[in-house]
Amino acid sequence: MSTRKRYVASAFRRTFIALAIALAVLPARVAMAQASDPQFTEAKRLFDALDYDAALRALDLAITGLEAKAVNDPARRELLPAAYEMRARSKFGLGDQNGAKADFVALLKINAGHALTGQVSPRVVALFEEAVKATVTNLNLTVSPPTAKIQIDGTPVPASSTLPITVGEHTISAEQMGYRKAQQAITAEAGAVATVTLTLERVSSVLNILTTPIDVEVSIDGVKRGKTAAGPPPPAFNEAIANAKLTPDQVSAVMVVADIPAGSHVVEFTRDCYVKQETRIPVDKPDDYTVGPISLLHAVASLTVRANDPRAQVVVDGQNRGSAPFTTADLCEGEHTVELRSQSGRFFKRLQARTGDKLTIDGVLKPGFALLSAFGGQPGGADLRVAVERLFDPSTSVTLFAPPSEQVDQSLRANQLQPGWLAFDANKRPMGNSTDLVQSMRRDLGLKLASTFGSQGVAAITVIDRNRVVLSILAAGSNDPDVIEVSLDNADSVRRAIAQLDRMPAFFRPSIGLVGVDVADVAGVVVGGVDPNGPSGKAGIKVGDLIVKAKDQPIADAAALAAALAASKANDDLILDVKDRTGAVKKATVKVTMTPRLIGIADQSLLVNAILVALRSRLLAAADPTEEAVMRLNLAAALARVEAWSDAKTELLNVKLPEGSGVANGTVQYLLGLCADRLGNRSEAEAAYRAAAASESLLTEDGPPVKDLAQAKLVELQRRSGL
Amino acid sequence: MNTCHAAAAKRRRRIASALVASLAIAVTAAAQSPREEELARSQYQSGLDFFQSRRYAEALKDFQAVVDSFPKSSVADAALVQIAMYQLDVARNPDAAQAATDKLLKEYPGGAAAPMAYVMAGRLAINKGRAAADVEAALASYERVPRLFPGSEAVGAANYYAGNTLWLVRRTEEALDRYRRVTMEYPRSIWAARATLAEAVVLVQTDRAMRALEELQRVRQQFPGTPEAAMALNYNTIIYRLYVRPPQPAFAFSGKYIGAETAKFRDVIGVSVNDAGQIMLGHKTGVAIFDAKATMVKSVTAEEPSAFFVDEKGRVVTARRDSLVAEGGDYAAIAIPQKDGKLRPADEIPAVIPLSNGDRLVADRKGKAVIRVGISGKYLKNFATLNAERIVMNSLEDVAMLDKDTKSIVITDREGKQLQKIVPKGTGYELDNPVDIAFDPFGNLYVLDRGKPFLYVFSPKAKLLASFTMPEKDTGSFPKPQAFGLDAAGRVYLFDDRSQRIQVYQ
Repeated sequence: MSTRKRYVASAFRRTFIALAIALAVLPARVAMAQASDPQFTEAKRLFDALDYDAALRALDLAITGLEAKAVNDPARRELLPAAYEMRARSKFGLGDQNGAKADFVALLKINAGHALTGQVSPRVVALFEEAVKATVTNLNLTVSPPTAKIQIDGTPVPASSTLPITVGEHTISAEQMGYRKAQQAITAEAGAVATVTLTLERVSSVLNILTTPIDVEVSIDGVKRGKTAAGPPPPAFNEAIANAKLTPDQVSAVMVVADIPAGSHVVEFTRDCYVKQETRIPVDKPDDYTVGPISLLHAVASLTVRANDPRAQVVVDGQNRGSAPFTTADLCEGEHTVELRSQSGRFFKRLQARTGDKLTIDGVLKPGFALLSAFGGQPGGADLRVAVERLFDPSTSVTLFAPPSEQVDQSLRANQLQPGWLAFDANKRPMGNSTDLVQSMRRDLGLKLASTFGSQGVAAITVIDRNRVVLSILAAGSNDPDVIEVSLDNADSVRRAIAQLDRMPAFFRPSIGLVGVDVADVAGVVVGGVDPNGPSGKAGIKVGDLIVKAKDQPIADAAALAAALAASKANDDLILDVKDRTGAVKKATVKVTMTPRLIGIADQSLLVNAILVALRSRLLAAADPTEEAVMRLNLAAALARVEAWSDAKTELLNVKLPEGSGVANGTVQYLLGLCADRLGNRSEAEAAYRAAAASESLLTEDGPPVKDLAQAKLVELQRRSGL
Repeated sequence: MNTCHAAAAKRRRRIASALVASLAIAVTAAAQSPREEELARSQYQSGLDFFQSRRYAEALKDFQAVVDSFPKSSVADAALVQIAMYQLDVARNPDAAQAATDKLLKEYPGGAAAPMAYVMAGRLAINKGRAAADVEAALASYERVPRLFPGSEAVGAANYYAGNTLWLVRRTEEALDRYRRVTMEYPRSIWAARATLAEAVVLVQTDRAMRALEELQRVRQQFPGTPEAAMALNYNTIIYRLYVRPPQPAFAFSGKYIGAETAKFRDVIGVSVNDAGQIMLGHKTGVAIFDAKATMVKSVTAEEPSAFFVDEKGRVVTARRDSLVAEGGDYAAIAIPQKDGKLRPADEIPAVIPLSNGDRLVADRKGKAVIRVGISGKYLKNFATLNAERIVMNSLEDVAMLDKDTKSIVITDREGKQLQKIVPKGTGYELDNPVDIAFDPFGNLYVLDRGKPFLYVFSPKAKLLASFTMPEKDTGSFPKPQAFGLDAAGRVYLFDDRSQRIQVYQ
């Protein structure tokens, strides 16, 4: 055979071998592991290309790198045997049989059960088998319990009755929860099967816990042990699962809790929105106990929220859930807050939902005051704000609500405020840090905080003594809070405080244009004054006349006449029997009119902040122009009372009332004069006062005449300008 | 500089607030036990109940017990206020009232009753006199209340009493302003009702009676069932009678008589109606007292009394010859010093009235003078030189004296300075034989003329408001009127010698 032919034959042989080798498919896990080892990848490429010389060099490097990895490193475990196999085959291909055998031995020492992969040359196989005979023997291993985890020389091995093992010294260990760990040293000899029996001693019980759903918190005897994870559990539990009429995919993974001593144990299963379950497990002897599958029932209630304001947004537990009406069927059992929020007001309710409850809330939005602080209370004590919120829940005019403490603390800090920033005593003397705030600062802060909490105002509690507090309420834009003293442990005191808060003056009253007075020894109502342009004046009733009947019923006094009037509506005809000075009785039909009323801007007994927010809210819904004008006028008076003169003027400029007696255009002019005066516009004030001085209007429906007041103001203006 | 001052002022305010807060906490910390607090409150309430039923001695005991035995209770300061008010208003003992007020301010400066202490201090200041310094001291004390206790209802009380102080010194427009402040700032407080009543008096006195009518009716509407509402009804009635009813007669006979037809009272010296609505008739053998239903409830025996009055302790005091004798026997001899230094006993005392400070004005017939004596009868000074047949006083402590000799009525202030004089003849009237006079709550003066039997009513400015008579043949006529009194609603209780009974006109 020529050299060329020998070369070709040799090449063909090498190619065939290489192809045979190349046709071998590395196990998939090897393919995955090799991706993380570039050296190995390169070596394999060279090996697959039959470039044994280069492959050898590359494999040397790869093996060196893999040997350096930790024993349990997956790459080392998977790739090193493959690397040795390739090197052995490469060496064999290069004629180094001894080297090849040495590599096979090294390979077997790593993985005694290694099998050559793919189509391998019989001679390589024979060489490999030689190495196997010299290096590997079988180990018959019996471990009780069979589920114990077995390690040979620290390397986990699958549980098996017969394992290949390399010749030499080895340590076999087995362990399982609830058992004492067992270990045995053996010497495996070539050609002789080693036999090892390991029996683990049971020392404690183990609870194998299954639940549906997953993520259930498990507590044993009051101690939390963790949460169940996603399954499915091993097939060993299929029977238990089937008995519970469940399928494995519905059940969690097994949560193993070891070291359970003998005795009776209470196992609790809790998860938000699920009904808590509890079971008692008697542990009589050390064993594995299966607990479950425990099925938790969904603990939910249904909630329907309706609002009187179609623009209201529903907020549950601080999360906006959209517009009202709102319904949900998965409100978890427990405490919740339900709010309705709109521009005009707030509704706030804390509720306790129980499984199966069908909760319906018909929320009525009222102007809201955010309770921001409690000054002087017990540190670490119960949240007084929540207590006050609950006590004032029956109020029909305002909503007092306590935002979450963290949110409040953050807001106060952001504005550099202490809890006493709005602290006042019952005599409206500032306390705490409230003394540091001038009125303009208080107004600005109140406005800002109200905006932060989406409320119409803010409130604070000042503790006076054990059970007495003062509630300060500040409407947005006000600089002067209202204060209400209340004894929290006295139901009457709370009722009075609420009544005070809810006292809203009427803005119209029925009138027939006369003043009726009581006179002793006279049965009936003496006419003490008549508006000549009013209904009584037009009906011919005069001062000095005596009203003896209304609607054919005897009238004993002015209170009876007022009652008859109160029962009438605007434009009703009221028929009166009137005795004149001569004693003659005549009938007079008078039309009932609704005349405007105005709150006293100096009235200290009014909770003007509550009135402010109520009026703002009502104005948003005002439909009748006359009603709107009167409410706006009253709002202006309330703003004037808290010295928000610019805002008051803005409102007054939108009020149009006719000239006349009672609360009329002259009233508006006088108030405009006050605003202009306080805002420093002298000429505007003078003009307004002059208009008021020329009118017959009253400051409130009961007087005094604005002309008297306006005249006094004009004199004062002149005196001031003369200084 | 301004910043420094503002900072310093802020510090002072903070310190003051902290002190107040500390005091409140200290008071709370040292407070009584709950049981003792309950006892203190019960005793305080007992005192209030006694006070309301005019059992002042018992009331005072209860209040003093609260102060002495429960000084740390929540009502100790309020008890001191009540003691101060009793001493000033009932016992007429301003020194004791001052002591109680001083104790309150010293020991309970931050208590709930502290604002009223300043009100009492103001009242005590004006009680000393009506000099400018007294007035300013009183007003300054009242002004402390809104400054120190801006949210307290006592601000209403302070402005009310400030109005009263100004009214007493005839600064009427300022007084009106203060009263209006109360009604505007505290319309629901009882002080608003009281201020309205006071305002009504000022309005009537300044010729704005119809305006007063509307204000008074508001008191009845807003404070129904209160004593203030009852007073408003009375005021309304008087205004109606004098200002609305004309040209119809101001009065008409009611058909009622006081006293049995057979009683035949003789030598009637006077008729008056006390605060409780009892009608008192002084006659030859004493003073008969009737209730509103005309039932005699009491009779005080006195031998030929010439005048009588009811003193601070509610006792009937009769004037007999030269002395004033109270029920129970207290005796005050009246003697007038002569030019030669000797004392001349009073010979006949046709009229006597008590002043608010306990002094008396006594008509000395023999000396044709009105003298001022102390509560013991000791001569203090000459008050007026005229032969006074009757002496009456209004709420300003203006004194009207009916001069028997000149048939005129002289009106002076409480020091004797003449303010007005109603001469015997004027537009619409002529006094022939005036025998009795009386003031109504508005200061209108009623004059009973026996000569031409008429009852005249003059305004505080001496303008004739009404004149009333009846034809002799009519039932209820009074052809020989001897004396009369007015009740709180201005009803006239007139003793006529012909019927020899009191006849009631309304």
